[in-house]
Amino acid sequence: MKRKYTKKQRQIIKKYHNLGIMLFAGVMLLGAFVGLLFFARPKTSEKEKRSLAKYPSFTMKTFLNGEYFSDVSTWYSDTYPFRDALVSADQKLKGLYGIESKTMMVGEEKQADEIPDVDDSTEAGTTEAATNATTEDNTGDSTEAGASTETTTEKVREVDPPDSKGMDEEIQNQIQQNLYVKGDAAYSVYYFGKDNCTNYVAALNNVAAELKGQTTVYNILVPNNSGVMLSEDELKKLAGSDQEQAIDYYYSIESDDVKTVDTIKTLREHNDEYLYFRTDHHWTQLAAYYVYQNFCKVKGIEAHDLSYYDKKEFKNFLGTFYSTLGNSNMEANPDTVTAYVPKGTNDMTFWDTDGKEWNWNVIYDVDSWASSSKYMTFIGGDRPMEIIENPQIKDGSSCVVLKESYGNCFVPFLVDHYQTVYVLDYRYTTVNVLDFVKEKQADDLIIINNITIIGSTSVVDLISGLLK
Amino acid sequence: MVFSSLLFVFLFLTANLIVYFKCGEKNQNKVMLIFSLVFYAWGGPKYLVLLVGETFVSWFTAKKMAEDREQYGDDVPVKKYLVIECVVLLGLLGIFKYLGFILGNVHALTGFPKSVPQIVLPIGISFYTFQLISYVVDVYWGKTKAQPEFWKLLLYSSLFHQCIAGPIVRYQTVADEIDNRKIKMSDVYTGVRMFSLGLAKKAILANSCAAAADSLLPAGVESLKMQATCGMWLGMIFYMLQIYLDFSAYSDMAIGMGRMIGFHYDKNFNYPYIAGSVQDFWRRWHISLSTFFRDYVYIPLGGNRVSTGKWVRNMAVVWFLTGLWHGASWNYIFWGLWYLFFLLLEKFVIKDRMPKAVGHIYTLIVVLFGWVIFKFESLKELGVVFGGMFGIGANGFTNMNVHTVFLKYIFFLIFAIVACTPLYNNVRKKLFDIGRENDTVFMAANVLDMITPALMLVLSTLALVGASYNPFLYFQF
Repeated sequence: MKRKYTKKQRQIIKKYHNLGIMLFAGVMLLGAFVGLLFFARPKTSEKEKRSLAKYPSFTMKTFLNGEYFSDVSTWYSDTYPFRDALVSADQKLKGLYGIESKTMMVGEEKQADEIPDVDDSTEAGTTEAATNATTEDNTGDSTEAGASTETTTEKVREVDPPDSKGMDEEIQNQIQQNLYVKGDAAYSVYYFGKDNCTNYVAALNNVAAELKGQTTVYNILVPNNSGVMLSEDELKKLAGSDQEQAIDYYYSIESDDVKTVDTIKTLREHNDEYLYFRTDHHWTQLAAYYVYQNFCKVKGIEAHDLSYYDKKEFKNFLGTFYSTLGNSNMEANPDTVTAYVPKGTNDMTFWDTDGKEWNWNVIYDVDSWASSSKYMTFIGGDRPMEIIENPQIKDGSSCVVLKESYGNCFVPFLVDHYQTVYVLDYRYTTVNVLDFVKEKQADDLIIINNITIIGSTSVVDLISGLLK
Repeated sequence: MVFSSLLFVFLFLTANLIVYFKCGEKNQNKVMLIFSLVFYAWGGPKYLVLLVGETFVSWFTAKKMAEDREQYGDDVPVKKYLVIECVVLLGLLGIFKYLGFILGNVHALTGFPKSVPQIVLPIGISFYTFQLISYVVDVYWGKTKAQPEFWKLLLYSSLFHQCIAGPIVRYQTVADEIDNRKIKMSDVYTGVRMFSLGLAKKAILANSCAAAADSLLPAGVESLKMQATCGMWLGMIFYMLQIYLDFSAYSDMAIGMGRMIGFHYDKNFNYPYIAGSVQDFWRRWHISLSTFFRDYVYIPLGGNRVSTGKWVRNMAVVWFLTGLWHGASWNYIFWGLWYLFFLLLEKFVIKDRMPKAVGHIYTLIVVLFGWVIFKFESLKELGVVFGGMFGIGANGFTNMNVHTVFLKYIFFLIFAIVACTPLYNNVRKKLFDIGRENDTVFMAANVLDMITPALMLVLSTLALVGASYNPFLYFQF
């Protein structure tokens, strides 16, 4: 079909087409210009909690195989000016793709191992764990690469921290494997893994035997939010593993040298309270308080009342689940971080991954920080080492806490019970933990972990390496 | 460098167009050549040697043919040059693309050689090899004249529009335009529109389809086994959309960029998913590849002017090669043979007896399962998904994860499906049609045309920045 236009119409079409070209060229030139504003290129993204790509350094090899240019491409788009604003705009658009239903499952299902029965396997489990502990010694372990060959136990062996980025990514996958979203809250589904369980317990049994008579080893396994906050019926629908059963099994195959602290039973009794964030994968400090009470019972000391502490509140917290899901219900109803300041002191020191020393606060005022960063209020976040000295206590008591980020809000409660609290994050620490505990002659070694995270093989390998 | 990257759009292409339109007509080809070589080198400068070398062989053999013919008359035998060309180019393609695969199979059967070398596939080799062969064969057949200047042939083979991802542009299509091309504003507009729509098709539609398909069909046999039947179907539908939107978007961008500077490349896709039969599908899918095999393999073998037996052989050769061209793995060969089967079925059994509606559905199903074969290089994964789609070995019929993805993408899915049909183009044409008599509609159509390219570019930019969104649980500063 041949269309015929009047001469005037042809001119109009031509005019608008030319305008279209100019508009397009204008946007292109603007984009090119903004791209050249090197000073405006962001180095980090608050929104994504990560450093953005760096401009690659030139080598002949990466130049010839194209890696250099491909990294330049990545750098160019990753650090494009106004990144966070552009990303937000894109997410708004993606929100139009469909319907955000009230209940959702985001992620993939995973095959979980069957959790063995506690009563039947207590004996077998322990032996198995013990056997594992001995064979473990022969396996090459990356964390030992930097260990000194000196056999004197007085000296603390140094270790190379692992590639923490890779480790964090694995932890991330572990936690976000499969998320159940209900209204303004997300819950992470737990999958039990038998080998990781056996190896983890073996490492703890091993270190408890090694430290017997000098240091008491405590194991605190914290459930994740689905196991505590969801009803039995909902949990059944999720098709993951039962966390209470799993924690019972972990505890049951431990040797008597490791003291266990109940978590999930107590927390479930209180699950009408604000125990977990809805927009973040961490627990609240209130939940940590109940576990602290249990810890005191096991240790045989008296726990302080919650009213004993000064309370601080940081509103408008949108955590990791929100970053991943961009859920609008969460955005409309952010979390609040409530923090309890220890009585003895609020001062502490930490060392960052570059070895730099920082004077900090146990509960730091994060009111003005980004809404994604509020959990950072606790003990300066995840650091290779943190030390808190309580000037009110002069009995020389000390403990070492080996933890990941779940431990951060638990540590403040320990401050009023020890003269010195040493905190090591196993992902970043540069010291062998066994040596460190011996050197400091700590009374207690408290190993506190989220149950999902120790389901990661590389985390278990790492912890095993640090504990021997 | 890929077209759908900020660096390409805002640095490379912008610079290219500015320089091109400012440098004066005499230098335009040189500008395009330099930019093309830089573009190609971006993926690893060492393979530039291969591209330049193959172009040189092609230029030399074609030139020799032409010289011999000029000197001794048209009947002089020049086949030897054609043989040299084919041996060198197909030989190099064989080494870089297929040697690892062949040795891998030999190794599996005989245990020899002990280790199979890992050869990196040079970018675009499948495309420029075919372009150069078509050039020399066309010179041999007298369909086109040999290009006297080497750098102009290099411009043809390396032109960044089509060098690395097609379409496979015939030399004769652009032979004249290399030396004589007029830039008309209407061409520039059409080019800009095609490019921006292509960019949006890739950056917004294809990339989102890919994200959905990847989340539903995660890599690895164990992960795939955990997917429910509905999840596999939905995942494959997203993949089917992705592969068309992605590939055709690349062709659209290439054709669009050509248009902006006065090159007219042929259409590479013609809404393949509205095809009424498998044969029709292949007339609409990657047209430049099917016509290449038609003109340079099928017809030289005798085409359909032979006995039925020979015709089946010709078809088998073409479809085996079509499969193999897509990748050095058995699944691509099976994919080619899958289509051979249905083409023969249509020829000998179905004929014209299928009602139109049934034909469309049948074609879509054949194509969908074709993509299942195409997607999984691992035959184990292929088995899991093929079985799972029929409920064999899948993790149930459906689950909440699948519902979540479905609802999350429901409007997008409808939009992406519509984008595979000519609806938008038809509506636009209709608006202009009505516009001849109706001023308001006419203005609306013009305004739509005016804002489309800029709007698509803005939306694509957002999508491209957003694509690198990668949040972390823990601070990674």
